[in-house]
Amino acid sequence: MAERGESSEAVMLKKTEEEKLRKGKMIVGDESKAGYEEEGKKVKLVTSDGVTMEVEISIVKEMEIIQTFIGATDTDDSFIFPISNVSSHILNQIIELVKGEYDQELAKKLSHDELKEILVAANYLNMKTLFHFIATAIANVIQNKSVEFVRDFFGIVNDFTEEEEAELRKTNAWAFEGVDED
Amino acid sequence: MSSTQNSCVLPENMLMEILSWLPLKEVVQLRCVSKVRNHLVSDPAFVKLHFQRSPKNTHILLTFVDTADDGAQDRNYAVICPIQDLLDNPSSTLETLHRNNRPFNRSYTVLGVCNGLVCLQDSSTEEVFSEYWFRIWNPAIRAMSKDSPHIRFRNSDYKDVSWFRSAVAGVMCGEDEGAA
Repeated sequence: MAERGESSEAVMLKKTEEEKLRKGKMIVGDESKAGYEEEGKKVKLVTSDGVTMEVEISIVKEMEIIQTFIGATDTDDSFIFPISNVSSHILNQIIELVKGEYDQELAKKLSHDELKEILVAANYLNMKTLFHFIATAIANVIQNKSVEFVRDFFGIVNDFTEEEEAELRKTNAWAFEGVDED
Repeated sequence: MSSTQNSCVLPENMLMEILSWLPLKEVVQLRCVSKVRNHLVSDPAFVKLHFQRSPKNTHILLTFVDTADDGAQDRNYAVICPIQDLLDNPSSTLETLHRNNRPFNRSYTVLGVCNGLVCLQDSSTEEVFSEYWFRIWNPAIRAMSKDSPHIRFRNSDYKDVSWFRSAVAGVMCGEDEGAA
């Protein structure tokens, strides 16, 4: 009996040893292969509205705020990251933009509020490429628009008196040649 | 949790980021949006960011002297011209350049150009004394600084003041760019 027990234990040991070896190979193996094996792996993110979303690792890699966690801890599939400042709707938009390789045509389909919320989210998640992309997309929206449009877009209150504004417009009149009406 | 409803207000650093991607003409328009926006145009941090993002070497500064026939003082002209305009219209003449690009025709001499700013010098020479003064011109936002204090030389003391002019141009180029 004792002998049998020993042998089954030995088999178990052998198994874990083999597993370790396999894992070791994966880690030691060349970089490109490791990247390939990682592809398809997903990370669970919980959004501000309490939705758990599985996001591909290639997209999560752009979120530096989460990367620092992944780098620091030995993550497994059960690990869940809360992103309390980003709604599931906005996270979905972000995923579309990253998958679409930052195409300005995709940005044109977003509403003004979505654009602004994505910018805030990109800043929070520390997604540098997305942040620049959305900032330029917003710049495109407000380009050639009137002062009133820009106030409205950013929710800025006009704190000039009528006289002050008229004076400013007069001194900078050259800049107002050829502005589109909204 | 849902602090940002339909009207999401962006923090200042994000506004600065967005506006830094706009052409300068539009940034100048936005001075009228609010008092904070008005100050932004001359905020050194914003000026620097915008300058970094702006395409470089897009314009050329052409200077020429109009020699007066009737014995009046010669006039110096400076025309800021988009290089693309010259490429598109290789047969441009001073006449057509004048029309499209605002020339200035004071008696200034251009001492140097740095980061889009132009250092100009004006002078008046009388029998005993000569006076020199300077201005910084930012053609992109059409701003001109006030006259610098006048510097006075006794003509007999200084036969050649070209060293002085190059020193002034050197000081200017050593400085960081900023709105005039």
